[in-house]
Amino acid sequence: MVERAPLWSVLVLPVVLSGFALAAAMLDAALAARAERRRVTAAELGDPVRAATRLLVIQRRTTVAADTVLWRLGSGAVVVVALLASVVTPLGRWSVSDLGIGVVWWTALLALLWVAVWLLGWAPNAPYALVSGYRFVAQALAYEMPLAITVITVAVAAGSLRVGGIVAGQAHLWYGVWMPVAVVDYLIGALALAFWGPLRAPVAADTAGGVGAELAGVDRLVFLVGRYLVLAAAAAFAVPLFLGGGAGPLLPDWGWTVLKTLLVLGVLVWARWRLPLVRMDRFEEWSWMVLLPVTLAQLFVVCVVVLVANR
Amino acid sequence: VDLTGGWRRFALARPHLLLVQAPGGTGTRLKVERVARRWGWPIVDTPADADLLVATGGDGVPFDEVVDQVWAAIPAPRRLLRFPPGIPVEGVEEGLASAREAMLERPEGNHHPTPEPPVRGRHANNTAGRSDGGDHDIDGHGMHGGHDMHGGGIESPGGLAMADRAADRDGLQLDVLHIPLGPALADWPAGLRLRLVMQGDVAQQVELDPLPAAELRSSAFWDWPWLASLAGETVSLGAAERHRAAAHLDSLGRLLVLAGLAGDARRCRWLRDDLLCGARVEPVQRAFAAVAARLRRSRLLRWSLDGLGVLDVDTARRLGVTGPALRAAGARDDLRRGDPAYWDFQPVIGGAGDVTARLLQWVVELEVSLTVGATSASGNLQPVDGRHEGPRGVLGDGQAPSAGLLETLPGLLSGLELAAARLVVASLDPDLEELAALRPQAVAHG
Repeated sequence: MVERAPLWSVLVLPVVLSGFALAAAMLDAALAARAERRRVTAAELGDPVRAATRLLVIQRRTTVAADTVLWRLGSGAVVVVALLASVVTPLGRWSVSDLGIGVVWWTALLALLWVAVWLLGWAPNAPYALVSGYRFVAQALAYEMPLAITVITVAVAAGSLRVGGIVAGQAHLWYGVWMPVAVVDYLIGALALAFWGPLRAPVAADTAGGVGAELAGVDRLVFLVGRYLVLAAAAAFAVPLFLGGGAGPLLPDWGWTVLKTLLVLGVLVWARWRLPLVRMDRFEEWSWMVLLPVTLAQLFVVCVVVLVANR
Repeated sequence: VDLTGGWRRFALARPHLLLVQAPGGTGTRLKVERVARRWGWPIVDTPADADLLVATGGDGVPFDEVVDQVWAAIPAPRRLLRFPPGIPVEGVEEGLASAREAMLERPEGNHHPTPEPPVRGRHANNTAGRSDGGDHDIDGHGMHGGHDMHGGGIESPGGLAMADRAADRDGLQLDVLHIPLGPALADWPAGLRLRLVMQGDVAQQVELDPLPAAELRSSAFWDWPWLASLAGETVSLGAAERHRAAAHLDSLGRLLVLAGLAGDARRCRWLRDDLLCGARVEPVQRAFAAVAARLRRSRLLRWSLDGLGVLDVDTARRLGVTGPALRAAGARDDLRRGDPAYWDFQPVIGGAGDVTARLLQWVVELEVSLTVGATSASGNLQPVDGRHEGPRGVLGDGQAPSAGLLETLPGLLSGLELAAARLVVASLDPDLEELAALRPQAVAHG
């Protein structure tokens, strides 16, 4: 069902992913305007474009005894990770590379965010950024295991690590329907990966913006774009994992993929405006004591179902 | 040239504001926030993301130093605005608009901090910094501990003090950092400065060190109806309760930002401004009912805030805490019970005394104030034994309820993680303006 697109699709991927990122930023801007009782006009919707332009004319900035190389590497890595991970995410019937180990590739690349965000926190040599860098590592300890097991669960159900195989495995019933715990796991993981919404402690207001507190100008732009790209990459990957990929009536496959991705993105952006920040120590405890056992139980159930079905 | 000009004009159409407030600047800060919201100019929380630095209140030397430090950390193009107290909204609008124009013409800014004498110790704010001479060389430095006496004379990277070692609560030898919190910090009580001894992200020791108030000319914005009534003026009950509601909305807005509820925080802020602008109470009441319902319903919010910064009744009384913070701990103290103008007023009490309890206490008292403000427009405030129940507690006899709130901080914050500490401070929201106006000697030692 999913096939490898020609080589030039490497150039299309950043455009499509940026489109999703921009859509998320525009929805966020619209919700911000509404919360401040302004009318949602074209100017408000276009605000992310203006904000990006602003960062291009703002002077860059460094801090005393900062490790500039690692700092720039950190924000650049966020962008690169989001793009590279999405190589295996199909748009309708095509993906840039439907690797045999697609889901492993995706999970492994996004685990690189640990390094990227930690560097962003450590390199500027500033206390708020440092504290926030630690927070991301703590957050990662909480979300990474449930997220990884969730991805494994889906792969077990499909009997394939290939994303195309996982989409094919949902021909009759979407995994999102019969694996509710996995969906919750994945959404939490998506929020945590992009340090977004209730899991944005690494960039929260209490540390004046956390790992991004010292970034100015184009460096800030790279960091913010990277964060939206990660959010978009996470939303886009939910479609082949849980929502049957491009399957759907009337519209072409790619149309359904776009629609479903926008839907997931909308849920994630909405969460930012509706859900409070979760305190890291409580999240940590809940994640290990509740979420992880439930996730393992679901893996067990899925394994049994697969064994019975294949007899 | 024109193309570049148009590009820059588009880019800076909505400059980002950073507000730095000293005691005495509340009225002006509220006007700036109102204009910024209407125009869609974002108010940011770090100098790195700011274009216009707006300093309100305070014209003393200590505050000037704070402004200098923040200014040095703002990248060009930038502009400093200092609004005098009592400036009308039109003045704020004009000032902001012309600052944007000026920024396009002269990006390097209009402020030249006085060069600091090399020998003097100086404490820098976390995300703020100072320039190393040239205006082009911008550095927002952080990690120097703030204690210049610190570091034992060892030459350290960038002239910053190195971290110390000390045993933590588990008996491990961990790095210790001395970090000042405030006064230039978003969603933070104006003029408050805390000195933290941090290990990782845990505040092991907390010391109060507010900006010296003797040099700050101040009037207590949130207390004026009650102070005016104590001074013998006639203040209507409705006006006083509307003002109380606005004060609580301001506090609640800050707490909600830190709790991560950005949407409801912004709603609280425009409701606050509606009340202060004399809008009718009923629409505010209706809009707030939705916010209150969401706050009460949110189990996630309780889960995050429960058990934080527990202040029991005995400790609260011992430290001189009155008002909502005391009632949230379960005491029935409310001077409004004795005021005949309030009919048979029954105070609402919480019980747990934690951040959740104080948040919900504000919510419930807001609803009461809005109801009183909407219904009993007649009737005037009458002092009870020469005292009044202000938004933060008992006013009169030279009592400043915020003094008690401040005293609780070192005890409540020690051992807390940074995010938790910020939540606890916001849930008490001491008003240093009140201190400066009522008991200048109380903070003059700082």
